[in-house]
Amino acid sequence: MKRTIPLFITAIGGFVLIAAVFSGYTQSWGEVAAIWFDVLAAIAYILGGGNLMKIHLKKISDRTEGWAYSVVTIIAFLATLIIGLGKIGVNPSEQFPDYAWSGSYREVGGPFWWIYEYAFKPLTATMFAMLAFYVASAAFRAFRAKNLEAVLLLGTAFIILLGRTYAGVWVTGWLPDWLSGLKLENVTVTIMKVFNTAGNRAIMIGIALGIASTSLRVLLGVDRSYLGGGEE
Amino acid sequence: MKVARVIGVFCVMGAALAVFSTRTVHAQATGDRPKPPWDLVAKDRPWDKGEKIDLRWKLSPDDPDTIAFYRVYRSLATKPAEQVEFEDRLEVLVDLFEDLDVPPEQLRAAIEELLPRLRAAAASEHGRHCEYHHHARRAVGAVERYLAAGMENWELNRRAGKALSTLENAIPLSEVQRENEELETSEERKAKMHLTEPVLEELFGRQWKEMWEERADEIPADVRMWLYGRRIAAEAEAEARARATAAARGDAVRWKLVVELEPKALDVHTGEMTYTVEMLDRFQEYSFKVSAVNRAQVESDAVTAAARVQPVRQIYDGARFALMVIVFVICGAVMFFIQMARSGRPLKVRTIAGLSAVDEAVGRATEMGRSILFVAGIQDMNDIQTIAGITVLSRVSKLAAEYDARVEVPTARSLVMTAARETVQAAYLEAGRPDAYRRDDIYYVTDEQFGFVAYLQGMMVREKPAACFYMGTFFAESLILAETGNSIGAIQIAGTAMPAQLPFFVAACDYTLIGEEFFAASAYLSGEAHQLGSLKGQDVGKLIVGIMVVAGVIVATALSIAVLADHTVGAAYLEAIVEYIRKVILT
Amino acid sequence: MYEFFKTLDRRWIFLMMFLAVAVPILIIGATGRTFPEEPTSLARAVFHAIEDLPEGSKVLLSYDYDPASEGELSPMATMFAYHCAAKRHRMYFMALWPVGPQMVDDTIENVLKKDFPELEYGKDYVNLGYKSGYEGVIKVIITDFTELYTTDTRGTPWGTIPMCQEVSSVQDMDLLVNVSAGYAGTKEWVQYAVTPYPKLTMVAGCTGVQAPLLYPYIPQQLQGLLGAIKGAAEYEALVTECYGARMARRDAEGNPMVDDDGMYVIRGKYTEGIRRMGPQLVAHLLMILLIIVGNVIYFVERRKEGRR
Repeated sequence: MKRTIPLFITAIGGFVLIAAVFSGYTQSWGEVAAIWFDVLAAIAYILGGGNLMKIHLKKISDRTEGWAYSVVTIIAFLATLIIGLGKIGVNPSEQFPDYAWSGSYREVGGPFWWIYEYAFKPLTATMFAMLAFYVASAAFRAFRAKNLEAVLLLGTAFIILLGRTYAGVWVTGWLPDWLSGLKLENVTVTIMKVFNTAGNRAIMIGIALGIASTSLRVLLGVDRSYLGGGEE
Repeated sequence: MKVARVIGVFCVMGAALAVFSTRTVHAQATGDRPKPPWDLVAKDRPWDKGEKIDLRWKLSPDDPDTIAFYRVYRSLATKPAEQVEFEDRLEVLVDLFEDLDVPPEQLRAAIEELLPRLRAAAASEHGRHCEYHHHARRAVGAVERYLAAGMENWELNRRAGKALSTLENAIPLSEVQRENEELETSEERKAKMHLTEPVLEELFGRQWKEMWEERADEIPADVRMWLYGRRIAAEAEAEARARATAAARGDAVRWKLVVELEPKALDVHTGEMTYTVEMLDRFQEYSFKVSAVNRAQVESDAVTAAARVQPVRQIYDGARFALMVIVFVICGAVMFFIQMARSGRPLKVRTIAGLSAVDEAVGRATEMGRSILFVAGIQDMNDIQTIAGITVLSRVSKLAAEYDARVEVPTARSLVMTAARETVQAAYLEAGRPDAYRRDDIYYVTDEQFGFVAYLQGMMVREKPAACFYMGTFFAESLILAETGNSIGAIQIAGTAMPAQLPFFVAACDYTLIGEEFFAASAYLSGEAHQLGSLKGQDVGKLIVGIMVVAGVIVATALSIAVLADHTVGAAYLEAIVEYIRKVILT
Repeated sequence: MYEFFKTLDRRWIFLMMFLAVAVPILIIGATGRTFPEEPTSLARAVFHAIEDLPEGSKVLLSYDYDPASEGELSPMATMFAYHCAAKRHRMYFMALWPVGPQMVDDTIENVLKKDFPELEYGKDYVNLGYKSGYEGVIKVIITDFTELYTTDTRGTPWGTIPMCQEVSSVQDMDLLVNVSAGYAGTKEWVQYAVTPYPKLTMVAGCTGVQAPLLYPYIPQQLQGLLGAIKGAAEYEALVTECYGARMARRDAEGNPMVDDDGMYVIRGKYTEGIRRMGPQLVAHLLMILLIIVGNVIYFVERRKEGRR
């Protein structure tokens, strides 16, 4: 029963939604199903938050290695939650001045805005900026001309790296207009629009077929490993 | 005498010639009106969502070279008479609520008369405007509460009036009303300026505008009230004029230009053109007309379709026929090969290095006494890649249970955590090691992308897992994870269907499952024949795509050659095939 | 030296990258000099898609990115808003990402309120805010805005906003402009808005990683595409060439400032993309150098092994 009902829901739901795409009366059913999923996911936030609190409180109580970071996590989580939900420090909206909570929680100057502007934004921007360093170290370590394909790849990489900056303009700027197609910035665009596009399309077609096959296996109940509960 | 006659004849001939040539030149200068197209037929498009009407007409008898294009018009949508009547009554009811002197009996009678229509508006699907239905529901609720309280509660009266006023503002306009409004706005504005500007200028001189807008508190209160009243009167007068203008237009059909179409070679060859008008309202009837425009931009008379047509929604959407065929073929192939595999026929699947290395990775972790890190992507369970990742987790967990290795699964979504727990627990049970299952090894971290990867990075550097699996949807964090895993010396196997992230995984991981290899992973690792059969069915899809690509390329190339060779009829047919492939099959 | 590079600790690479990015930023900040930009055809297409629209056209700007991608995308987001405001297009801002509205707010504060104070909220621009559902939002608003957006982000009812009364769905827009950092983004707009309704015109700006995936859609579904900070720099070059007088810094008398070459000195917030091309150039050259050094080491090692 534990596996039968989810399989049943999956199969019926999946095939009904596939059929719904082909009828004018039912084409919006997919959106309704997506909204149902959003409702489930919203409820799951509570589950996730509870699990987060549990894990970190356990780390604190057991004094496991790094438990101080769990204290920081819990304080940050609760503080942001209370400030955001309670709209602390937010002025009422101009249209509804009599209602204390009518203002936007994102109001400029408010505590929530401050957390976003001076904590969240710099942290996420920093994490994203780290990619530049990792790209350099990956390039040094992994880009080796081991065979012909690797050589072609490296050559293309050089063209793109130069063509996307002023260096490309400087290196091939002397070429006459009738050879403008060979200027690095134009070669870059050609490589991206022709060769790269062709490769991407091939991968995307394969991915689409893989999705169709996997989805069919899941809908038909051939692959049930995502459900748990062991083989039957 | 004879000479005089001859000269006279020549003069007459010359004059006639001059008149004739002048008329000809004049006619050429003004442009002869082309002959109109004919036999316009409008029909509801069969098997659609109720948004399209097919038009077919015969080309203008004039030389095809003189006709530049054809103009297709449709009538603007209006509202049904009963809807107009409802809106008028609603406006009256709103005015009654605003009038403090109205007797309660009159108000009650007006409310009770309109309430059934309000309830119908709240429930009806007509117009598909959710905001309108939402406000109608609120208005019905507010009015019912006011009535239930005996119409004595002033606050309920105020709320009901406000709800009805909001509903009135939310009434969706018909196309005709919208056009009227655009025209009325400029007239109304002019009327206001016409009536109030001279008065203000007379009172305050040429600086009246600044006075009115910035120094209004210096204007005496009674003067302000008088000016305000004048402005209200001016607005009312402008509105009345606009209504009169609209009424004067009467029931004449208003037309909207849909498209200007150039006839193609095939159309000239067959002598008729077709066009499908789209994005229509299936609750409306439409008229259509078509005219021809020549190269001098002179438009012919229009031919009007004999009858008004209303698009009808059908149970099946024919625009998706090609999609349905492809779905049946691919799904049929998958099911066929699954059945074939179940019947015992051996199927050969190529070796995928990344999947063969799963054993090696788990074994390595066991030998080193360190954990296995499994990241199922950063998306939720509604993403097929996450499901594929969870199915791979099942296989990896079973292997880890057999080898007595620890699997740690931090997740970025709570639902994924729940599914992963079920999966891992079942895998340990299947391996005969339910006691080794640790629930707290599968936990939720955060939804935030970079917060999640920051945690993973720290965890990897501290705990140094021996094997890292990245199976699912990843975005920018892919390289951060892969490089960190590389720095701690872990064996890394990645699988994703995000083409943008594949290069990063390929550069930094030991093994990468690219796109469909990742989706094949679960079937491959299970080793079950019927799952492997589905991979064969997938290959049929690839074959179909390959054939269509080659066929499309051949047809498009032939079209280019036909155009260059000026073979118009051949090019016309090839163009029609290319258009069909592009607009029907590929859409 | 060879041994040093053979066993190079990655932290040296990180340090080199840090210097490659930081030094040009400091130099450009101090001198104000930047590299010239030659716009490519894609950037020109984006520019003309906005420039060639008649004044007062309706433009939907969807800012689908977060602070992580702000460094890459905010220059183009700023320029899109500036260009539309300069052309007096009516701007409808929205977002498919939860933190997208903050990006919109920043743009409105920094561009529209500061440089176009004559523009009126509700008549010239409106912020519709965020709705959850990702591509589901697109599928709904492509036929009817009010099924999801009953108010703007301030809570003002849709029907009372003058510029919202003129549109009923995305199909009424003259142009779609999307700034995208991932899912949901440009690809979803192409799939669910432009493909089923080909009359819609769309241009986009995206991160460098995403750009290769979007090239197949050019030019049919996407008129033009700005890829990464390079695309932003090219677009900035085009817009500042056209509207430089207005965008320039002012001297004490209020006249636009001009440098020694006769070019307008554009305010910093409108040249972020161009200024970041300096660090990008040096960083790219560093990466090329690292690849070459790595391959030299590889070939030397291979030769040594061959001899053994």
